[in-house]
Amino acid sequence: MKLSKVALGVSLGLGAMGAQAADVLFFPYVVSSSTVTTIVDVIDNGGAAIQRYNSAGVAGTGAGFNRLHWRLNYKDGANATSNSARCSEVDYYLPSSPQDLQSVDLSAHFGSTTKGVLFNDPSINNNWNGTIGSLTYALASNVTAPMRGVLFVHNEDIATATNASLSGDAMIFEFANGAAWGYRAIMHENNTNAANASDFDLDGSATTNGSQVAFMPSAEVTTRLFVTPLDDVNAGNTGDLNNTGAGTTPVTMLAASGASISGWDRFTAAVSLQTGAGVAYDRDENLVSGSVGVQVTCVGAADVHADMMTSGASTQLADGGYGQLNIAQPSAASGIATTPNAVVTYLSFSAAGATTFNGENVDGVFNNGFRIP
Amino acid sequence: MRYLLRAFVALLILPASALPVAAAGEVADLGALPPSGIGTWAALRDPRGGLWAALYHHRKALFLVSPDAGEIPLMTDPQAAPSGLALAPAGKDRVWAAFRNKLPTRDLYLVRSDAPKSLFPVGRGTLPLARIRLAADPQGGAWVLWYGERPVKDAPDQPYWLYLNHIDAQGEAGTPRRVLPGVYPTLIPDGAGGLVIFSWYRDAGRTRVAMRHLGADGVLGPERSVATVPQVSPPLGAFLSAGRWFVYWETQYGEYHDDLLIEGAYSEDGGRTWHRFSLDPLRHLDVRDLSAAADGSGGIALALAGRWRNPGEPLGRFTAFLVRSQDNGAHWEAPLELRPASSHYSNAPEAKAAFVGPKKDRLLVLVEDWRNIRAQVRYWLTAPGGKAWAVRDAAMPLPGRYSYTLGYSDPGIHAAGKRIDLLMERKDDAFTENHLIDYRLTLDELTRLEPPAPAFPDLARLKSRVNAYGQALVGKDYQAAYDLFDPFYRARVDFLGFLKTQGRIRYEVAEYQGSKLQGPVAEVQFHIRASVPKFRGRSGRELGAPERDVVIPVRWLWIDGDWYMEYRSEARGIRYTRY
Repeated sequence: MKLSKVALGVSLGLGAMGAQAADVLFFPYVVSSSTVTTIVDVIDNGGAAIQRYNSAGVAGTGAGFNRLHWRLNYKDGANATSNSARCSEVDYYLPSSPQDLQSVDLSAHFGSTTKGVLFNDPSINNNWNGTIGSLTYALASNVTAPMRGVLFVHNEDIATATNASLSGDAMIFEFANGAAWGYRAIMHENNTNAANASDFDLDGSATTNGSQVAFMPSAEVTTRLFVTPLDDVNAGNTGDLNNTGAGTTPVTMLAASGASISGWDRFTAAVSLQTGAGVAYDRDENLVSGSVGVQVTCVGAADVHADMMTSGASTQLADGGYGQLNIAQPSAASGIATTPNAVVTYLSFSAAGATTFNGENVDGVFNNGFRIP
Repeated sequence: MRYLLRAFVALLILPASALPVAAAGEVADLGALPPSGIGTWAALRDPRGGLWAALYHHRKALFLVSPDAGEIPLMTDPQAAPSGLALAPAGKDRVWAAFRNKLPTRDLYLVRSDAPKSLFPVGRGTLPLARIRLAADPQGGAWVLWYGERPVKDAPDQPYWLYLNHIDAQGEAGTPRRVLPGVYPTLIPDGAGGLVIFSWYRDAGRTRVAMRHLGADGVLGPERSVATVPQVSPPLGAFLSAGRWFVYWETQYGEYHDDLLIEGAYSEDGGRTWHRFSLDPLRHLDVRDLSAAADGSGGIALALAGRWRNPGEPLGRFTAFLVRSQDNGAHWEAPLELRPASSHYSNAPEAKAAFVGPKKDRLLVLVEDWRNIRAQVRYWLTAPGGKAWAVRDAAMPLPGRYSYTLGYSDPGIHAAGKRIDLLMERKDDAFTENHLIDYRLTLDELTRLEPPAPAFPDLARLKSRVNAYGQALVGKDYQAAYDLFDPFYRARVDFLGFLKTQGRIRYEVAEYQGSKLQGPVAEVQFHIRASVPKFRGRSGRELGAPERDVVIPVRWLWIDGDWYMEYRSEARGIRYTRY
């Protein structure tokens, strides 16, 4: 597990006990490769009273406390397509300011000379040779391509009134051929000034178990589900990213041993299609059996035809059909933290080798993605 | 197609002496099918020996094709939405066909070939779905089995039930009888004038395999349990072999139901006791389809097509196996893989088995194999007696530059006496045209088939073809470059379409640098030195790329007696070949 964090004078402050609530932006699927990158927009709508971080990761307001915590949990290189690998982590405290918008190419395919920040962004924090030194907004630019991961951007907002101050969206951009899809970032706002435990409680955004998913003919369209397991508050598995102790100590998610203490590198859920007594219905309302489950740790993908059913079922469903998504908690095992919650993102795109849609010629490729609520 | 049918029919009625010396096998085009899909056709041999086929033309109309009378429309109403298909003999020279219609009235309909305008509804409010099985009765009527979704009050946890009905030779239909819960209606003759009906249904979190017996007297016996397993997937089915009733399915073991095993059971006491069996050497084979054949004296052959699904490994390509039993299912021989390991770069997604010959003692196995880039039907044939192989893995000499594929729902091999009809689908290189083909042979012709000359790729010629492509790139001879692309790409994209994608890259050097052969596929190292001269793009900015000197891997294919470059677009992940 690689740690790529540049600590600028991390200091363990034994300061006063402060509330550790935060606004958390969660991007459940980000990716980069030689043909694909992820462009994220992060809007910091908070005012000066919102607690942000300084370069050392200490929370506060006022001069010097102008950073958000960006953290990428990722699988890279050979692990990128492994559903079972745990995630590595890279995180930085990066400047922000009230009413700021940062549009960032996480892999710096675009904006390689501006630390991944796009579109002539002159705002105060983008002082390239100044405050952020060797850090970068393109958190995925220092990992081994290809990369698949999840991104967190958060502040340390302690307001008790509802006062969401962060929002964002992501665009998965296949720049080699122009296809793109995207989603709104999930925003969790902790406005109860409670203990750390609920800062990163994102399981309210989990995809509803039993959601129905349609898929198109396998020869023409590949339907892929991206699965991001979430914390499980009920099990006390809170996925807290903030800190191990009290006070405004620097945020770290790694224990001395290098293992993630927050669980976001190893949350594990299982997905399958369970429709009636079978896997899916074909287009003539026939039920087909042959459901196969897929276990995913941190972030991963399952192709509906290739991974989530037997080839016998897939043949009977060659024209497509629909199934009901089942998200379940896997059996416990060492090294993973099992959870019954996950965000599932649906992506359908032209199948490898496909040149038709509905049997008719189509020029170009397409993809269509959306989060399944 | 009418011309072909007339010629086909003419051959049937010519006196034997007037028949020309037969080229091995006759190819008859029975009609145009939708470009893809399963369950779009069915075929049957009537007791007199005629080969019937029913097909959905482009899914809009259902036709019957008879050996004598050509096309018989069964359902051509543009307001209808027919689906599902089953055939059964209705006497010496007639057949029953069954289909499910949705509009204007949803029901299951039986129609006989000699009275195609009379549709007999048999579903009677069971809300039938389109999986239908037919079995002839000796008096010219038929038994029909389907499944329907009418809610059953006293069994609310079973939303689907199998129903059985009967129609007599005059078209009088009875009342549907509810047989078993389930979604896969399956029936076989019991060998004594009755039927055996099988079903798979969920019960208390597991899957129960169950059966009921219909006696020749029409009495339906009680439900008997065959097995209870965690979960099942198709392929599943049943067959009769020398007095034993066999049923098989694919069991899904493991927490994630991905530990796959073909299992089954047989009974020889009317279904009271069942002996389980499983094809353990093929555990983890994700079987796509299974074709079962029995010679009537205890010899059984199972042809399976599947891909290995081993934990932690990527999915393999489809390959085909044959598993035989010589003692009516008590023991199963080690599986025989029906293709060499060297062909694993390609798929073989379908296989069919049948015992042919007047004594049904010669095993014929067909394999749909894509190892030569276009799909071929390859075959294995035993000597009389069924033990030794007379022909192993030979390509059938089917004409033309087509891909020939085997159907999913049909047995494929229809043999009676000395006549053999092989039903297959024929696709063009663009995969837009798909025709149902009947390849007719006598047993004698089958044994004397001369396979096409094996394709020995010419390595020397590979280098000169690759260099010819390189020279075309350097010299900007786009027509010459286009002509070197694979026929599947050229079937879909014409020269002008190709031209649109060319021109920006300037090649200084483009040449063959080495290759590795695997059958008809050559992985070629292609050395290029190229640049993109500056040009003004649509954005108004100047674009270009400096000269690069690289070796890129490209794939060349030996097809139609020469080497062609396989079109692959890295960025778009597009290719036009399908092996």
